[in-house]
Amino acid sequence: MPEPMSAPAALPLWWVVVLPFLLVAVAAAVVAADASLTARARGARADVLLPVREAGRLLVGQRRRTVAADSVLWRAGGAVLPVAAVLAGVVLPLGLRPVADLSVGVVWFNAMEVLAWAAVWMVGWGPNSALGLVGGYRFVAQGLAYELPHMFAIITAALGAESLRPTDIVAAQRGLWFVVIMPVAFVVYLISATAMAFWGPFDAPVGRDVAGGAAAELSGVDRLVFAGGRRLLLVVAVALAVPLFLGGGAGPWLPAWLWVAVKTAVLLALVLLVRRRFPTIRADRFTEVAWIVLVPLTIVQALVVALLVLNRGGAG
Amino acid sequence: MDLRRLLLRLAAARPHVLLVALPGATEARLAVEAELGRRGWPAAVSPADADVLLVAGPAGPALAAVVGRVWEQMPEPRVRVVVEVVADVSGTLDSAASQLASWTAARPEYGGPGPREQEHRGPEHGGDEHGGHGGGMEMPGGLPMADLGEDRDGLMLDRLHVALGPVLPDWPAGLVLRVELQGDVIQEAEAEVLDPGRGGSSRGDVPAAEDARHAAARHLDGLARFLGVAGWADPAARARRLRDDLLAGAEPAAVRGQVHALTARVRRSRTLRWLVRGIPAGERAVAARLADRLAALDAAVDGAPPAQPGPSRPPDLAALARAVVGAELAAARLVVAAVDPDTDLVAEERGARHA
Repeated sequence: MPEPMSAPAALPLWWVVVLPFLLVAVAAAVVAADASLTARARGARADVLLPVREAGRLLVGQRRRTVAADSVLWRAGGAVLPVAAVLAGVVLPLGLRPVADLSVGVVWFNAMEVLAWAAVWMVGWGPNSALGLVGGYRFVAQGLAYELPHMFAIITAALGAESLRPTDIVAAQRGLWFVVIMPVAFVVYLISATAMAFWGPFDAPVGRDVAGGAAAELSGVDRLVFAGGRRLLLVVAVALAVPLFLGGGAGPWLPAWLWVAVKTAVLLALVLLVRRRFPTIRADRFTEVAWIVLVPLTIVQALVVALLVLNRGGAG
Repeated sequence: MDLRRLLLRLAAARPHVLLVALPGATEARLAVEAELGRRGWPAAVSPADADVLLVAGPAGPALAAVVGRVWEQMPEPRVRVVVEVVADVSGTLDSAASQLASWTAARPEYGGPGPREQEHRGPEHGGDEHGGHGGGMEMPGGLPMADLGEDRDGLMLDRLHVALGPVLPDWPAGLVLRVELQGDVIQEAEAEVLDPGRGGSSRGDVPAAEDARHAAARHLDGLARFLGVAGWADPAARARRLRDDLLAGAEPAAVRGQVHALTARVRRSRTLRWLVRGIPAGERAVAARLADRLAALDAAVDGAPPAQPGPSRPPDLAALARAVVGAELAAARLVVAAVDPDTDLVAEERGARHA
């Protein structure tokens, strides 16, 4: 591959500090938008301050302990979520450049988001509560369902660009966005990103039927870290669909960073609306669909893209 | 500290309320839910998530003990209130919010010597009971160990003794389902209603010969709770809103269009059909019971005469316990929500066990 550009490929170092705040702001906007949709359905007033109220409420709230809890795993599990989300976010091109332009950025991203498996299970296991444990195991089962299609979807985009570097993947879409040649991978990616953040309709691990599941025993700052980490993970996972499939910052008139923001916002809005359209999909039913439908579909999709790449004389 | 006071005030505008509904106090529960909906205050799903513990109705001895344990599990700042008279709901919620807002002033010890250790025991929202073995051995936290038993694939696995209810979201008032869990599959179940028959009249304000409005409201309430358990919050919220409108005096004919739109949306959902398919729930499967409920709701707003005006019989708790055995926890919740036993009608002490 030719060098993508002569300008420095990564953002200046101080972006390391800005990135978490940026992601938190987007996650707060997601919370506010989602809550206002909820309020409308119930006939109540929307509240712009809602993310601040909720965060403040949890900051002054007491942290709970439970009998014979595995405190180390419990607290660590919650803390892993936001850390993993921010670490995954460093390879997101915010415009033309990411905070860290890793040559294996896609693998890095995947490695970080897989930490959610451990995190949710640890949070479910830690408090020594039956419903928490059920929630934790539900997420592991869900992970078995979404992870394979997810990885095939990511690999398909990397294959199309013949690179694991997100900026290369964006550059490879200069002529044609990958969503056009790999629509199946795009849709599967969005589904699995939602499932990874156990966001509705894949919210069984923290389901209402098990009183909050993995999060049932969390209060105070522990709940804030867990719930916030989950939203961060959702934002980051959905945002990576922009460089992978939607051409990153490409677009007329507007600067690249604004295009990234617009595309990400559209995808997040889509995810919020989809949650309202579907009831919670239980892991037992989702696994069936994931393995019998999604895995073969994504493999065929990868095969088609591989043939396209060979045809244009790549990977020689 | 000023920042803490500011945060407390901000948070007190939207406290999370854990509503404990008692058998025989459906009227109070409905009034509270309507007021929470108007205010946009979220219902807490577990004690850990709650700021306000709201007990709707007069608690008998068994439920008073449960409420006490739930209260111990709640993180501070917290407020505990009782609503027995429907007219009090708004004032009670206001006073709870103002107590939360001025928490520091009221309780100077808060924020002093660090958070108190919260012990969590007991079954009230599904915590482990860990009944069974343990022998004389010293166990962590003084808790006995889980049993061992064969699961449905013939493997020796832990059996956890877990009590579902009476404090669970979208759960029949006062119902406790004592189950033996392997993984999340129920191996044995026993159903009981705590402190039954204290409310007197059935379903609060619903008279024996139910008019169309109350029939529609009752079906909307049942539908909202079923959809809540199924994890479909959006139509569940709409069903609650229509229910509240009806109970506030709206004519069934006035909300007919909205109710039909709602039932059509639920019926149309292929995902919901796929999710509730093949779950037996006694004599009728979950999907069939949902279809019945939707049809009855449509009929009620269309002004059709009530399908079964006969005297309502108390729910068959033994059949309910039988219906959840062999089900996974999620399916069992759907079964209970589909059967929707009217615990107001349970007259005396009764339990039912099925292995």
